[in-house]
This record gives sequence, structure tokens and C-alpha cells, in this order.
Amino acid sequence: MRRLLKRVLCLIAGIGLCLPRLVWAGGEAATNLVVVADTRRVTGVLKYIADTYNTDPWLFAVWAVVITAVWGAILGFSMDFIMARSGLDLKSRKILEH
Amino acid sequence: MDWLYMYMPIAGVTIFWPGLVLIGFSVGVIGGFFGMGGAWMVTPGLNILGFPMAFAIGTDMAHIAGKSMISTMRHAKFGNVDYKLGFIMVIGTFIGIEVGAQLVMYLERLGRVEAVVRYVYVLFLALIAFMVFYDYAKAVQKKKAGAVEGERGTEGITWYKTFHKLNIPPMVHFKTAGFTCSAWLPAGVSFLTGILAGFLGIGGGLFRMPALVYLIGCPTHIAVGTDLFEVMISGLYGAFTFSLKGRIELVAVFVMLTGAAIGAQIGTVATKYAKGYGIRIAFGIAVICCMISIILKQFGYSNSSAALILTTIGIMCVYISAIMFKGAAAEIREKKAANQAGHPLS
Repeated sequence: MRRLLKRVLCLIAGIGLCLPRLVWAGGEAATNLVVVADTRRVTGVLKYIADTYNTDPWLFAVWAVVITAVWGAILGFSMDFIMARSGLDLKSRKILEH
Repeated sequence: MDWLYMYMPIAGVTIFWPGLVLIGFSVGVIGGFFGMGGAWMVTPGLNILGFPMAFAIGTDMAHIAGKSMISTMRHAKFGNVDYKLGFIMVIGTFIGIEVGAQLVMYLERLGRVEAVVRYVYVLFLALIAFMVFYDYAKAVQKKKAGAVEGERGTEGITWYKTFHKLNIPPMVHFKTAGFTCSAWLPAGVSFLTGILAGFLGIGGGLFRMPALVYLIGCPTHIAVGTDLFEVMISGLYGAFTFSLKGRIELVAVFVMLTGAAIGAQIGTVATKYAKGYGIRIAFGIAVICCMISIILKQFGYSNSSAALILTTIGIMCVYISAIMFKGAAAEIREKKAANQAGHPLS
């Protein structure tokens, strides 16, 4: 185990020695992009989302958070319903570190 | 085979949607097991599928929020989420992230900010990896010497015991995590990990999870659940800010979340059958792979970096799924045997 630990330490030290090169490998800053959603190829809800993206960033941001949270909750509850039928005990567990 | 491709109206690209489901699934498994968002895995994956980098980060952030919500719900049922601890840490994290972001802006004015960020990122990943393996080696040594400590079993690093002695009011008892300490300890630790997260432009799960274990003294399982609770809140905040900047593809988020819903169940349930140190060691290996991939990328080996990340994701997924399915099969067998013997298990 000590030998393994020594090897890990050597690896980390080696990486440390390489770091100065990393410092000078910095790339250039990203350029600003102006993106417009293409509403010609979509219909229904997707068209509404794309339109909102183009016209009202604040409403789009609110929708993004609400829809993500709601979709996450729906999927979470659905999977909970399915998993409850697996026959596993999903309400308790033992905590053992080692 | 056109049906396998989906048009993303905001990013303006056509994407192979089963790839999105697969990314969501994999990150769901790994994130649910380690208690982190996993941005370092998703972003290159999305990029490989054809997403422009600007969209990959924002889309990833929203997906992480939804995925963490699913995992948190499952962990909460196991009793792995300490909400009181989570809320205190959320406050520290948010203030820390703001300070970290200000620090980045200050460095930007000085120039060479990206280089410093990379340097700090790799340095801290190396530190975490060292801490995890040193802790394991110490625990093994103690166990061999016959030392058994407390109800959690043998532990290597126990710095948290010293921090728990800090008697600065208010002292708070965290019932689920099972310890009492000054509220300033989790607030301070989350503030520091928040600074790092804001400085590096990441969610921070990579730092918070080990900090919860080694500095605050959470049992590994509760550290995983509580961290996911935090990732969920910070992810929703991140989704909002990235949406305002127009850097998010909602359609992709939905598709990825569908895969993540299944993956998160596997990863979360697997924690039930894994020992704390099993989770810590696998986490340490993931951290090393993440660190090497960053170094490879900076030296211009982008393909090798992506290949390493994808291989890590694949191996980790198989390992975690095996833990889950083996554990579940054993539990079902045990229940059946008990039923046949006329002593059904509850």
C-alpha cells in the first residue's frame, strides 16, 4: 500500500512539474455570439419556445427553470412509482464506511 | 434513419438524440452515486455530438439541475439528505460563487485569467485525489492494526473531529448527518468551495463532496445526498442565468433528462449496496481521470482527452450498475428465502 501511495505521490508531483506549461497554454477569450432561434422548421410548443427565446429572454429564462423543475419532478415521481414495484427496500440503508 | 436525428431550433443543429439519452443516463448513474453534477463529463459529450461549446455548458447546467432533482428525491427516501445542512451550505455556496466570479473578473483585468484558472483547477483536483487515497491508505493501516472507531467503522482522515470542537455559536445539531457543530463550519466550508466553483466556472460538486466528508464530517452516503440537494438548487440558478444569456437548448435538456431519470435511479440505489470507502475510492479515480483529461486538453490532445472522459464514464457506469444489480439481486433472494421460511422481511 505504501508503494502504491508513493507512486500516486510521484504521479501528482510529476503533474505539478508540468503545470507551468499549462499556465502558458491559455487560449484566447471566447467571442460574443448573437444567436437567433430558427422558427421556420418547428411547430407547436417548440415554435413557442423558439419564439420566446428570440423575443423575451426573461420569460424564456423563467420557462427554462420552471419546465426543467417540473419535468425533473414528473420523471422523479414516475421512476419512484416504478421502482416501488421492484420489491427492493428503498426507504432504509446501513451506513458503513469501511 | 432520419428518425434518429432531432433538430435543435435554438442551437440550429441536428443531433443524434439516442446519444443525448445515453449521456443523460451515464451522468445520471455517476452523479447519483458520487453526489455531483458531472459537468466535466457532459460538456465534452455534448460537444462531440455536435453542440457548439457555448450551448453545451448552459444545456448541461439545466440538465444537471433536473437530474439532481431526481437523484435528491431518491436519496431523500433513503434518509441521505440533511436539509438543514444543505440550506446552510447553499447560502455559503452562493456568496462564495459571487466572490469567486469577482475574483475571476479581477484576474481578467490583469490578463491570463484562463491560465490561472486551469492551474488552480488541476492543483485542487490533485489535492482531492491525494486526500482520497491517503485517507484510504490510513484507514487500511488502522484496520490492520485492529483499531475500530465508532459506529461508522474504521476511518482514515478525521480532521472533522478537530473542526467539531470549534465552539462558536450558534451550535447546530444536524439530525440526519448525526453531529453537532458550529453553523459557521458548514457555512465557511461551503463559502470556500463556492469561491472555487465561481472561480473555476463549475458547479462545485467535485470539491463539495470531499469537503462534506473530510472537513464537515458527514458520512459518505449523507454527503452524496446533501451535495445533490445543493447541486439541484445551484443548477436551477445556473439554468436561469445561462438562459438569460441565451446559451441553453431546452429540447436537448428534456431528452437528456429522460435518460438521466433511469440512470439516477441506478446510481442512487447503488449507494445502498456500497460501503463509504467504495464510493470514495471510485470518486478519487474519477477525479484523477478528470485531471488528466484537462492536462491532455491543454497540451493540445483534445481527442485523447475526450476519449479518456468517455472511457471513464463507460467504466464507471458498468461498475456502478454492477454494484446496484448485484445488491438488488441479493436483497430479492434474501427476501424470497425469508418468505419461504415464514419470516417475511419488512
